[in-house]
Amino acid sequence: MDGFGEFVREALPGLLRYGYLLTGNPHDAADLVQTVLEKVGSRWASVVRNTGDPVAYTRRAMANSHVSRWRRTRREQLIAEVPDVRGAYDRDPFANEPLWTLLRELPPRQRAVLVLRYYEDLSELEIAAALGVSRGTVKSQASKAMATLRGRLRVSMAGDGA
Amino acid sequence: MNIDDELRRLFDDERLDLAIRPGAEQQIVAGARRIRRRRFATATACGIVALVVVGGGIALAGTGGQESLPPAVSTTDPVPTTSSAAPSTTAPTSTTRPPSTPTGTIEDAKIADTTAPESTATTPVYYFDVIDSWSYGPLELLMSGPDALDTGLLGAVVFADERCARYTATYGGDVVVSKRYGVVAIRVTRPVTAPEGIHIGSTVAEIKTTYPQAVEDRNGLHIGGAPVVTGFSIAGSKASYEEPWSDDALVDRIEIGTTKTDCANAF
Repeated sequence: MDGFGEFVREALPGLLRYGYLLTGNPHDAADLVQTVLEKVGSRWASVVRNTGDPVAYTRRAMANSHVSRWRRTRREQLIAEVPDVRGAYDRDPFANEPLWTLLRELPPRQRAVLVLRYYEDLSELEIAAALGVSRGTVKSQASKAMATLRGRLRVSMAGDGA
Repeated sequence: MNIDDELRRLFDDERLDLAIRPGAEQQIVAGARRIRRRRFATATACGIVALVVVGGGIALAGTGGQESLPPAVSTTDPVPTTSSAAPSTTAPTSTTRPPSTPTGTIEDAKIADTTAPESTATTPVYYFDVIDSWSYGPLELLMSGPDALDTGLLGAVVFADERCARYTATYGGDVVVSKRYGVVAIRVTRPVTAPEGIHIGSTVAEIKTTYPQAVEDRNGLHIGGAPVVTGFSIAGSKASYEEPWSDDALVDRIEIGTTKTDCANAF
């Protein structure tokens, strides 16, 4: 696994952030990142040889893994928990962000489509390839997700204004 | 509210950056190793065959479980390849194992390597100081043949049949690759050290002190069991198979191998 350790060291911050976006919380993000990276590392030489871009490959694998199999069993945590801020990660820093709250309520695939679209800036075709679905599915999932967000945000804002 | 813009703003929020626990990288690398080993262990669960390779090869014997040694890969400075194919002259050379089969000797590998085109290459060769139970530098047991070749450490082919090939190694030693299992043996004759300190030039007595569970075989001593063993090949030969190795006999090669292999003919 020559080079894999270095890859992990360099890519881990970005992958954790990406995992946070996909899963909606730090703990599941760490779980997802660890699970996927360990699989990638176990076939590291092949990944490097066949994909050309291990970071992109890992991100796609994370999106796919997140959508296809939601892990219920927590793994060891990769993220730091400083004693004097114990429980910090249990408090959602985005609790006051209505859009974030609504994103968390979306089905995993719809959320993944939005993350791939707005964070990775992938096209519909690229998202389809990453998730192993048709372009039509990507369009419909994105459409449903956006409609849900718009509708609930409208309700939320109306409620705030009432 | 423009949701597109809001999503981009949200996804760029710095609060999404997470602090990483110290040691997280090592934890992931170790996990990847565990998966690779588990994959192989599953493949070999149907039966482990104790195997003593004929002809100066590694003794691969299933003698019980071995706790995995910690990964240890330290590199030294690169050196030119022009003189790197041969094992280091600091290794004990007072006695060498006589060839016992026409195709199964390290001496053959040396000869082939010196005539290989790769020996005149100008790219640096990296030596590695430590060999653990699964890997030597970038070479790992069970890695595929193409992956092994990608390391740049494999030289000339000195044996090949329909199942296996044995390559000289540019660091000094050789590597056996199975089409079915991938790398099944890595042998090192240049100065190298096992994680517990046994090295080329250590004595049999030192091996027995370090590894009380070490088992003697016709080529030296070995430790571990399925799925991998580490062998310490001893210079010289014994008068008989039953005779124990002399306590002051010296290690002239350290080798790691899988107990599941179909490459007995390659040694």
